[in-house]
Amino acid sequence: MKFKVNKKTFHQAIQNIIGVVPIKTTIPILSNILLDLQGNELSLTGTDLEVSISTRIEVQGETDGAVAVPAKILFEIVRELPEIPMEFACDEEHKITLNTEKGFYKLSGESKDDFPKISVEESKGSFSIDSKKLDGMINKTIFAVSTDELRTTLMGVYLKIMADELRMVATDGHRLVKIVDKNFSSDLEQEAIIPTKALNLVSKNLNGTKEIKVNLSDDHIVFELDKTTIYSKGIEGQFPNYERVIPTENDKELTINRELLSSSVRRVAIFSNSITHQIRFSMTKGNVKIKSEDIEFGGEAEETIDTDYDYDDLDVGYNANYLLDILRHLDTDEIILKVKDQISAGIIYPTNQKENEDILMLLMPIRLNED
Amino acid sequence: MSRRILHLDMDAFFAAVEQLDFPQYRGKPVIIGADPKGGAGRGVVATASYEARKYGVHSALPISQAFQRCPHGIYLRGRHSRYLEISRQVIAISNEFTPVIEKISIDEAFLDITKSLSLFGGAEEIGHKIKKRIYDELGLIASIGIAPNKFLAKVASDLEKPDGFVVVKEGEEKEFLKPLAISRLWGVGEKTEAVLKQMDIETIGQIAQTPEQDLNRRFGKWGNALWRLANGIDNRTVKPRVAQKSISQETTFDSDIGDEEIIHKTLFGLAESLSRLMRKSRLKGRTVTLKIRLEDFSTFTRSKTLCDFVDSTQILKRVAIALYKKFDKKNMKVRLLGIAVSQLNSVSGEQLGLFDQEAPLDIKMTQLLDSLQDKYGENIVKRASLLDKTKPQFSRPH
Repeated sequence: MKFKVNKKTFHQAIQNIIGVVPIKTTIPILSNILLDLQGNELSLTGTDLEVSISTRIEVQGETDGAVAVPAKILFEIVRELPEIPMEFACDEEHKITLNTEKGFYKLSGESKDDFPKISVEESKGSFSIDSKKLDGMINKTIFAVSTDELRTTLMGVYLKIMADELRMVATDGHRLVKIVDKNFSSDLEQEAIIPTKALNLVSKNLNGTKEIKVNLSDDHIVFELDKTTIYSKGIEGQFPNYERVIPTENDKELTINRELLSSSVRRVAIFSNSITHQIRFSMTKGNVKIKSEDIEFGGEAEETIDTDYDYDDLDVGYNANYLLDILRHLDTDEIILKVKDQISAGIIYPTNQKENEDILMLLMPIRLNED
Repeated sequence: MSRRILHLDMDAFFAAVEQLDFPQYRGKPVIIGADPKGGAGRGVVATASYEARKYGVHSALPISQAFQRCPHGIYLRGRHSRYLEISRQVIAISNEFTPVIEKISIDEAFLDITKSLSLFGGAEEIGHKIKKRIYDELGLIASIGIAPNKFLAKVASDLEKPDGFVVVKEGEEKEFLKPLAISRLWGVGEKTEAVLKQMDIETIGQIAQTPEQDLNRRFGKWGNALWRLANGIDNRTVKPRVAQKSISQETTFDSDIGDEEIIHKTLFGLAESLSRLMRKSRLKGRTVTLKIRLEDFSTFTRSKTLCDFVDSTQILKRVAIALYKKFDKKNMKVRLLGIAVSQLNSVSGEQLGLFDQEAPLDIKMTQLLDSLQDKYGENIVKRASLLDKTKPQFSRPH
């Protein structure tokens, strides 16, 4: 196996896929990436067995072949080399030599046969989606995904494909995002929970891709980009019944400037308890006070923002970080907050939904310390 | 549910500690506070011993006046770290009777002993035991009040000071308060007292009989609060302050253990008792730490931080076992196992969950186990998987 490649192309390709290579693994072969040369096309593949990614670049091929190469060393040497041509060669014993005008670098690879095959059962159907749209939906949901290994079904974004809409939902049990694309049509109705790792790889590898083809099978989802394909196992299990927890009786509503609220919350949160990040929303006719207090260290802060709130007084506690996350992922100048009481989820959504889009976020309160 | 709240108040605390540490001060007027500078000093009295109080010296009195009233007194600046040390010992003793302790100052605390009653033979018994242990172990005297709520407990502990011990039984709240002067009500200062006296009110009993609306008209919201207190109503709970950094349970095996089943069962048992301790203390935590000591005495800890603040047996068990499975024992046997939870948060500041209602069965079972164990002791009921199958669980008559 032998090919010539320029640094920039090679470096970029390795960088795109290295994210999937596990840092610590009990299966040593996974710390390699598979290079497979056919003619002038080199494909590079990495996998952690759950998520796999494969990307193709143009090289000057000499002899076809394939080898598994230690990912970290290859990535580091290619990164450190200047913009010069390099020649990659590999012999029958999987001894790899990288030659440049600066010198040579040798390392040992592994047989391509030891590298796990990416097996995907037959696709049940597919749909195509505008890459910017999908990227936006990923970005708006992924922050709310749980990292709690005790609830694996919350560790990914729930994707639901319906005849005339596409839904993505993410929740960590404390907050929830639901985003619906209504300008969508599909022949198949299906659902899957996609690990965040796969979605992050999709976002990172767009590289000018305009349209993404998404293939679904029983337990896999495959994202086909222009030069890159991402394969992911779906997370097994039942995504919780999110529709049931979206409140329908939140009768108290206020409209508030998003940036004004964010900046207030950021300031007040500095004085909140460092573990709970609890802030208090004191809503009263005409305004909302945002307060925090840390009993242990004696800090305290309060700010007032005028709003159109016109109901009975209500105090609700929230985690400032969760609220800021939500505000950061909405686009409009003004947002609407609908609440019911101290212990029910607050609903937050933009004053103007984008065309064909429907986004809704939920935030559960922190129980207030009332006497 | 009716509650039993104990208010513990150390008598002349700073002065008593000085008299304890320096026998030459005993029986003499000891005054802790600012430097009197021969009568020209500024500042106030922090604590006066009962001997000094006979001269009219009391806390918050300007030190210069104290000096005028008791020039021969022993004036001390105070040793705060020593008082804190003893204060912690008092709390440690209290902690053996209930974990629900709200320390309100260095010499005062509320204890919710409702759930400890059956374990220690009743409220009075607990009160006497705490008082006796503080005296036996620390040489200090605490005044104790026991009542159905915080307000009454505090009034009770103050009523027969020093060396007081007053119990207000449920149903006797109003009777107890009736003859007391209005100044004993929380928040009644000279101003309120003057207004009440204008209304011909001098005792708490008279306030209790005044229609609530009249008090409201006179004092606003504060009037309603006054009426409630006078009628012995106070729903505030004892809120444990989270000074604790972590809470843990551990066990050393009689002989080193290699059997995985025993290890898992032990972790389950530790999770169960830790979870129970956390619920009693009204604490939840986010970081679970597994402690393992191997047969060669090398000790390791492995931690996992969760997204939620938890106290449930099931979650503690799952995390502990997961941490254990990832741990490489290098084929050695285990000498000690422990589970600790840190990043604690009192339950009142709890982040609520969207899907909280989805595990009602486990919560119900936990509540049931708790109530049985509260009433009949820790061994009355156990999860079946924690039963020791090698020993007969019940002895039967032959």
